[in-house]
Formats: sequence, C-alpha cells, structure tokens
Amino acid sequence: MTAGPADSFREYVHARLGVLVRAAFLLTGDSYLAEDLVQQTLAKVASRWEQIVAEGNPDAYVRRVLYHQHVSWWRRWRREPLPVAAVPEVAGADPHGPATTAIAVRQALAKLAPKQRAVLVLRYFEDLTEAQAAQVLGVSTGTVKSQTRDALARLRSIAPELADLQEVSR
Amino acid sequence: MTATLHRALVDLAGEAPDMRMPEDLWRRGRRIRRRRRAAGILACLLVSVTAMWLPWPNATGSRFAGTDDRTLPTWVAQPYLWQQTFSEDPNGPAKLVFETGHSLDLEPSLVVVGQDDSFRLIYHDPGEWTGSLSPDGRYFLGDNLVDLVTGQSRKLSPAVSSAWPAVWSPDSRSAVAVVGKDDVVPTTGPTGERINDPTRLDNIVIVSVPDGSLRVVHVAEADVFRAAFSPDGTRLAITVGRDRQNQELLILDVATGTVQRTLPLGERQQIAGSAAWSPDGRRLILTFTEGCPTSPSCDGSIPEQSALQRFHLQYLDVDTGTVTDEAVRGRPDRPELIAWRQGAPVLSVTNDVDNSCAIVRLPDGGSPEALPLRAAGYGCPQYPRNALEQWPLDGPQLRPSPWQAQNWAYIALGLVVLACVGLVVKLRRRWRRRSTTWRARIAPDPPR
Repeated sequence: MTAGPADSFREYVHARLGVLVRAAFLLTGDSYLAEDLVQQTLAKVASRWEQIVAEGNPDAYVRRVLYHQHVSWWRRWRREPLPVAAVPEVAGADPHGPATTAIAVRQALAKLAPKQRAVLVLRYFEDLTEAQAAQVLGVSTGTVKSQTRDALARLRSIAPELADLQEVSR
Repeated sequence: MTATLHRALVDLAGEAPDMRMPEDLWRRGRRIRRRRRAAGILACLLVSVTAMWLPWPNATGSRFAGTDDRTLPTWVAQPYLWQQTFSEDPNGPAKLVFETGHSLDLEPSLVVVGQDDSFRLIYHDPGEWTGSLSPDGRYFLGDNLVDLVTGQSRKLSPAVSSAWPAVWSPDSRSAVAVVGKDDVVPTTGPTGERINDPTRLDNIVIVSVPDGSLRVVHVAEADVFRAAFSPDGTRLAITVGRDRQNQELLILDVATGTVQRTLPLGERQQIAGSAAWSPDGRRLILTFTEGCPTSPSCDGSIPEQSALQRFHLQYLDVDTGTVTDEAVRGRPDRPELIAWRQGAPVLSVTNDVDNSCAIVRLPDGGSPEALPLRAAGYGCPQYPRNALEQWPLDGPQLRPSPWQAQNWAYIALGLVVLACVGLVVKLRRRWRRRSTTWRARIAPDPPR
C-alpha cells in the first residue's frame, strides 16, 4: 500500500527539518524567526505537495520557497538593519580560533542585506554552485557573482578576522 | 578562504536550536491550497463578468444579429433555455412574437424576435396574458404597454381586461381594449343576498400610446367583444352583447365615441379579426361559424366535434348593412383575420385540437394559399400587420444565437470551463506522478 501525500510530507519534514532550520537560522540570525520561516515555508510546500513530488525534486522547490520567503519577509517588514555608509566599531583580529570567528560572522551576517546573506548561505553553507544558487534565487549567474563579491567585501570590512575571504567561482 | 567562511557558517548553524514542527502543518498547507483555489476561481469569475460588460464587437446583445432585413422568415426555431431576456436587452421593433414553453420559467414565455433577428425572452407572471403586437412591431400591449425598442413598460390604470386581446389602430398610436366591470365571482352578504353585480356594463376604452391614458368610447356588455379599426383609423367596429344570442355590431366614431351604426349579429356571426375592415373601408369581414357555434360543444376535446369547426366568410357592406356570403363553405378550424396582402385577406387559422397554426391567404375566387410562415412554440405567432402586408415572405429560417445569453449562463459556462481546466490539470499531475514513479522503477540502481 502506498503512503498518502500527508504521510510522505511528514516523512520529508522529519528527514529534512534539521537542514532547513539551520539554513533559516543563518538567514535570519534568530532562532524564533528561523522557526517561523521554516513553518511558513513548509505550510506553503504542503499546499502544493503533490505537484512538488510529481516534479521529482522536493529539495530544490523547498529551498526556493525558503529563500524567497526570507527575502519577501525583509521586503514586507524591513526588520533587518539596513546597510549603513559608516561601519561602526569593528572587532579586532581573532586570537581564539573558530568559535570566535563564528560569532564575528554572525554579527557580520546580520549587517548584510538579505540577498547578500542568502547568496553566502547558498554558496558557502549549502555548497551550491553559482548556477544552482542563481536558480534558487531566480536571478542570473552574473547577479549571484556580483552579490557574492559585494557580500564578501562587506564581510571583510565588518570582520577583519575574515580578511582572507576570496571569491571562488564554481 | 572559503574554507574559513564555510567552517564559520557550519559552526554558526550548529547553534540553531532543535525545533519541532507543529502537527497541523499539513492542514495549514491544505487551507492555503483551498484559499488559493477559491481566489483563483473568484478572479476568473471577476474577469469573466468584467469581460461581459466590455464593449467588444460581437458581444452579447443585438450586435450578434445581422442587419435589419425586411423579410419574414419561413420558419423560426425555439429559443435556448438561457436566451437573453428582453428586459436586459430590448430588441424591438419586433419581426414576430410567439409563445413558448421552452424556457426555464414555469409559465409559458413570450419570445420577441427583433428585426435584427435577435431572440429575447419575456417571462410571464403567473396568469398573465400574452397581449397584442402593434402593426409597426414597436409596441406590445398586454397587462402593460411595452415599448419594444426602449424596453420601457407602462402600467395602465385602470388595468385592461385580459379576457379580450387589445386591437391596434393601423397607425400604432392607439388600441382598443376592455376594462371589465363584471363581478364574475359571486359575493354574498350576511343574509345570503348577492351584493355584487354580475350584469354591470364594461368600459370599452381607447389606450393612447404616447401617454398611456385610457378614454372610454363606449359602455356595454363585452362578453362577446371583438373589434377592428377602419383603415383610416377614424371608425371602429365592435361586437357587444351578453352572449351570442344577443350580440350586435356597432360602428363607432373613434374620436367622439358616437355610434354611427348598429347591426344585430346572429349567434354564428362575428367580426373576423383585428384586420376585418377591408382596405377600401367599405366592407367589414365577418366569420360565419358552421357546425357547432357555441364554445362548449366545440372545445376540441372530442375529435369528431373539432372536425365540425368550420367557417366561411361574410362581407358586410358598412354603408347599407347588407351581408353577402362568400361562395366557399366549410373552411376548417378557427380563423382570425390579421392582415390584407395583395388585396386578399390573410387569416391565421388555429386547430383547437393540436393547437397547430397555419397562416393562409384567401384570394377572391381562388384556392387558399398557405403562406410560408411557421414558428415553433404554441399556437400562431404574431407578426406586425405592416410586415405581413408589405414585406417579402421568403426569408431564411431563423435560429437564435446561443451566445445571446443571460448573465447567469455566462457564469455557469465560466464555472464549467474552470472545472474542465481543473480536471485537466489534475489528470496531468496524476499522469506526471505516475510517469515519475514508472521512471524510478525502471531506472537502474546507481553504482555503489
């Protein structure tokens, strides 16, 4: 007997929830917002579940919804801080290794525009190619390249401990 | 470089708390789906309804029809059940009107066929009578006086009686009708005495089209009422009396109501119809009923009796009062003289058994000529008298356009289209799902 769409959806959520939550956390920088983002994304996915399954690649669709939903939130509420011309006082070099670097990245990510943040998460956390990231965001590969370049430059200026960041095309 | 960022992002992502998704996530998704579908349907309906009102060429209304052509059709089909109503889009002047049961109304409905060949329905109120079409096809006088061009309806006060169809003057500016005064239903007082009067006389009135006013031209018992205007419209012939044994024919001056001549009529004689006055104004055509003269014995319930419904014409010299019978005897069915064509009377002849109708021309001394005028529906259609007398009769058969429809029909059609589209989408998805499953089954296992 084959499982119904509700069962297959639950199975999918059970299997992929961790990945989605982590990506959402990186995008929002806040655990509550991340939870809301994942819930809204999955509710939207559930509304088209049969169609998504029929197309054969649920991950791609879910990722697309997650990132678009995140940008759409930002457009609607503008909760995120806007980029500013003068960068406030910056942290010094990191003498304590990766844990402190993560904190610095978290603070720096919060100061990026949502699309820049999305590009970085897609490229350097989810490990997607430029073309795949472009497909998820619904933009051209050139846009992904320029957004990545700008985002890295901004990270370098905000967090000097990430000064060795370079753009690598794949 | 990116290894640093990747490591930092992974470390940061590791700080994400464990989460449990709510149990109702699937139901929330279904709610979103239902809402989306409802919004889609609503949007489609909105677009459809808006599209209906856009001034597109070949949209609803009489624009569907061809240009006015002045020929009478040889045959007219039934309207569609969803045919546009007259009140929504008047299509006068009329080429003909006829009654039909082919509508969604419980009562028989009236079909108005415009001179642009468009079809419109007029739904009758329960018990409402049909009415009479004016000679120019512009007005229709039933319970109300309706302008078929503008759609304006004027309620007459007092109301004219539905028992006798109004008869139009040749110029379509006025009509004669009866305002019944009889107390038909007996009413008794406390001691059983009858307190209403079944013998009250009726008012014979001229209805003025421009202002809808009624002017009494004669007061008489109108149980056997029939009327015909003279060709110049100055005189009016009417039949009055309590019953067939006591009926008489009066010639009235229309302007003053003065009775110019009174002639007794036999129980088998009657004014032949609304066009009974000959074109030269010197003769009035009467029908003489052969066989069974009274209605109860000729009600058509028994075929042998209906076979007895025969008539012949009589010519009454209006000046001298002399009556001359035509040579022919035993013409079948129930006649109504409705027009004159090429000097000969045109009669609509109804068979009371099957309610079939034939329109025939009776040339003097010649055999009857059946005119090619047929319509679906009940009984005889009504044609404008002017059209019957002047227009060619060999027009093409008329069928209504299914797109001349009422608004609800467009909405229903929209819903059907939406349902079909929905079905196609659903089947497509099912097919795609099946083909995906099938591909997965036949695909070779990936190398390990």
